[in-house]
Amino acid sequence: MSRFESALGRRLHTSRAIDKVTGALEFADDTRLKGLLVGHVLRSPFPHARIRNIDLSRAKKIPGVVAMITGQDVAGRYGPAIMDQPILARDVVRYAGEAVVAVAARDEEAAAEAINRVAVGYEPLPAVFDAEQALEEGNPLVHPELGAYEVAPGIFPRPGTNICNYFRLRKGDTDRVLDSATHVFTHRFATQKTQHSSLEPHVSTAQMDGSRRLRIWTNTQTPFVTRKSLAKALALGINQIQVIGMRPGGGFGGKAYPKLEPIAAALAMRSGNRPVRLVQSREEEFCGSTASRHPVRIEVTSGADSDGRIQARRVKLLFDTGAYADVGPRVCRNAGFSSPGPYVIPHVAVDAYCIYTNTTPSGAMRGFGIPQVTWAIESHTDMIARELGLDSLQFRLDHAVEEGSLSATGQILHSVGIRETLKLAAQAIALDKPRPAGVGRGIACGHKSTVSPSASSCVMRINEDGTVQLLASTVDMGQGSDSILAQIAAEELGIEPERVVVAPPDTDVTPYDMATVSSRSTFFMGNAVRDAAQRIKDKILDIAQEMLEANRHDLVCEKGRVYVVGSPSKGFDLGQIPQGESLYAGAKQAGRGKPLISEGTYAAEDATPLDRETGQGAKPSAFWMYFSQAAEVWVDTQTGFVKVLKIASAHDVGKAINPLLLEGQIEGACLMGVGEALHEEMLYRNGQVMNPNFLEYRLPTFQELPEILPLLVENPHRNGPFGAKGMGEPAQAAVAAAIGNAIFDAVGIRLTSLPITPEKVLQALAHQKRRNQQIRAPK
Amino acid sequence: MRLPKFEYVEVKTVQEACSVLAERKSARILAGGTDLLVNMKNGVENPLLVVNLKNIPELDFIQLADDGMVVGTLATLKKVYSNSIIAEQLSSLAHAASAVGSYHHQVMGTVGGNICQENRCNFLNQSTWWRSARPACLKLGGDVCHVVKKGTECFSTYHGELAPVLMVLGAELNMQGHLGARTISIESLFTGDGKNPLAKQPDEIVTSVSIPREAMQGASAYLKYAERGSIDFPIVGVSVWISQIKKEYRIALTAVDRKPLRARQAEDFLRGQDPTEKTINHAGELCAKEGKPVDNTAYAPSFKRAVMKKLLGRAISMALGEQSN
Repeated sequence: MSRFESALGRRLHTSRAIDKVTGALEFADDTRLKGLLVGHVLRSPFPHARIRNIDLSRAKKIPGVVAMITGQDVAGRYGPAIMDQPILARDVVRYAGEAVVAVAARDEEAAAEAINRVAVGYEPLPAVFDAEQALEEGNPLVHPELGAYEVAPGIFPRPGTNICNYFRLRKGDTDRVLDSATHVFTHRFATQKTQHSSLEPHVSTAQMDGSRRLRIWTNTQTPFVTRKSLAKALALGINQIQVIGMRPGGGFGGKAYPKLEPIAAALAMRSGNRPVRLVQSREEEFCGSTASRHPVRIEVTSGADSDGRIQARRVKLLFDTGAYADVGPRVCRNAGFSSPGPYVIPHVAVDAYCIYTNTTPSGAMRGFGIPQVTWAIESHTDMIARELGLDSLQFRLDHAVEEGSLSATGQILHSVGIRETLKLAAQAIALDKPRPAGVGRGIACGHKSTVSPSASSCVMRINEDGTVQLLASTVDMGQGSDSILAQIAAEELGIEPERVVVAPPDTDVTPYDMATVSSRSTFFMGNAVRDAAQRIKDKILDIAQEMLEANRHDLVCEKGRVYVVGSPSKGFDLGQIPQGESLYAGAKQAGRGKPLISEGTYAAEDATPLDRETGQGAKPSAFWMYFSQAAEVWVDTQTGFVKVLKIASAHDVGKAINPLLLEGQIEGACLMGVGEALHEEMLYRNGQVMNPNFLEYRLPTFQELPEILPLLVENPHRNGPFGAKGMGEPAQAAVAAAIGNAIFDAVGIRLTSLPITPEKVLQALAHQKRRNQQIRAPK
Repeated sequence: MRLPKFEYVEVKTVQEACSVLAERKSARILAGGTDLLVNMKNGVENPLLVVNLKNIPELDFIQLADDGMVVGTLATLKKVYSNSIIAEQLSSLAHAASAVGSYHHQVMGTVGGNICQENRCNFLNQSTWWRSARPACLKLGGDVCHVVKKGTECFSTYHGELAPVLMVLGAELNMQGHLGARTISIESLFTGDGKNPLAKQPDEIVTSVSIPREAMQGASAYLKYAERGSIDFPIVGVSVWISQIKKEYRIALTAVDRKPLRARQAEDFLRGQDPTEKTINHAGELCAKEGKPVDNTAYAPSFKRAVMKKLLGRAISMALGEQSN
């Protein structure tokens, strides 16, 4: 008999991956429903305007129109941090692309024609498009009614201003230490607004059933948050709503928190019992019911002593969250407490502001604010090391956190693999080796927390043949959580992971999970699955010890069997366990056992909030992820063109449950990182997105794909399932900084704003040339 | 986004096409559709009638004749760069055809369609909804320009990639109209008026392109500068043709003006000269002055000019390097 192979560490991909590639998977837009109506949304082309009147009379005459609604028909508001967002604009529109009127009609043509015939009278209002300007007094307020909104705990808006959250962190005596430091460095950075650009757009289908329950099929990452938000916005009980999660064709945070769902639900509530489907166009993905990555302005000041040791750091962050907060206040807080970087710095002060402007809302996107602060901190770190004449890798190693270090919030850190990732990435990119002209190499590292507190639960069943059903609300959007969870269950039960089937989320069926966000699923749901597997194993052993007349401690679950250790023949397959109905096994087993079912739960019970004044807290994150990325680039100094040749991406994952999927995350994220470093930016003119399409919004193509070297470090976390942590977000977070540092290494120019376009490179080269001429010029 | 409603006819002969077009002056010609259909979805073009030429078999050919190469208007871009004679003797043309858009555009897009593609502007190539935030621009019958304040003419920019190459190769276009045929130099097809960029009667069709044999004896190149290796229109495209014997240079640019642009000053300066670093640099400077890029793309005009300066030299060495092989 071949040795039983552990389910951990296996390079398993599920049939789902093939289903996605071949189109066999049922995507949200594929569900066939009887009487399906087509929904369309009319959006404001103006960034800030008063709605004077809406005339639906001509539209309602179109044959086939079933329901038409405006902001006057839907009273509720929603929002994961601040309840500031109406389902449809009421009285005022706050960004170009905000939903104003929605229609449900029998077909596409009728819906489109009805929307064409709506007449909306707008009175344009002064608008504010820039976060810094939005802070200045006298500029327009995006939400004058901010003080009246319901606000989630831990979020601190300032009514009467455009500030929808302020996060503050104070550790030590930063001002004093900076004043007396031998070297003080201040640098300013900026990042741009980008889009997730999932190939599949947002799709929501809603239907009221005969008993006035709302059912909604949606490709969300957050079925339970969405259910709760809909209940609040539509004044329904939570148990009156069923959210069926369709497996998304890409998420990256863009499908987290309600987007199209409230509009689809509001239409369904006026369409009898007919289902209504909304599908966003690509343009709407950029400007409509959506959320982008926050543009951030960052100012960092660091003070070093005469040994080149950083003693104090002050960070100021301005997050432009657009017209509605979405989850921006939390992004701001998360980036705020992580912004000093993965370093031991005794004195730290952070002021992070989340600011409303009249632009498309910003929200969650891969890294939740961390790529932006990593861009700044890791460029800053490189600049300091070079100015002090120190090796940038050693400078990082000298300051990097380690097991037992105290974080900026006062958390005692555990499972800290940052040094290993730095060394691996540096070695893989040959950081210190000679390089050809025009070629440069750079490194950057970082850390990311995970949302805490948060909780997961699942239900496990053993089928009649010994296969396993897992009911879990984790959303597999391509990251492969179904495989990871199956592997964790299989490892605990001693079966092949292929024998575990994971059901897609359905809030009526699969138990509670906070959300598929924040690189949390392997850790949180993984723990819940492991818990469920252990409990079901207990039940298996209960029966087995009776049936085998053996001591429970002598039994093992392995190879799909339970047997007496040392004598594999003394045992039986999991499919032979009597579950209360076994007659075939003879009189002795008849009626024995009960259906095998178990629950699994996990929550980070010791998670703490952060103090409002000092940002201090002993455990704001259940675990920390550490990563380093190193890049090799070539710069064409004549045209400013930058080609990324190679990226080495090293991650402390705790335990690599599935290296294939980890490598998949790394490869996708590196290309995403190249896009945000060099190409992607939502360009605005008067509050309108100038490039809401894949021609002018320049996602990298496979032509831009560099050679990618994925590197894994296993630094087990004591609370992780088999030691595992997450890594979906970190996989991208330091790519831009590594590229920026490599560009400096190649041609000696420092770019401080993203994306690093050829135009900026040429400008910086011209500036460098002028400066060099001035230096050479005699006095 | 869906196409608006329109009438549609498939014609079998050029004559039939011309008579339909003569009768219905607002009709538009469909070949590959990669330009027209996108514009129709965006409401930038709203023809009541679309005339599909795809079923005229005699327009889809590539032929080497005594006096040169003739390419039918319906030959796809892929067919052009896959043709072995073009690939060997007119590699600049093959290169330009393979540089257009993505593979999907190359299998659908045609020679005629690429030459006659509409001018572009980032205030124009947007959805009807998007444009509703502003008054109609000159191109769409309004009286404002959103790019050049107080501008009274349309500055939409030509981005086609075959035209600059065909210009330096001295190509001629064979046109067929309802009342007769004519042959014109490719340069004279372009008016330089962003609103009506093509000097072509509504009933006229470009039926084929003739490239003189003389062109095949020179050295030529097309160099595209774009952010990505696929999909993008050029930020700047430059084509050169060089006769080393006569020390004659022809230079044309795309994506820098309302039409594909012959850089005459640079050509005049280079005529009779050897391509040294100094002469090329100066010619590059002249190139940069000749184009009229405006702020209607994601790239600033100053950046386009900076690139124009540098690309010429590269295109020249590319052309000469190729010949010496």
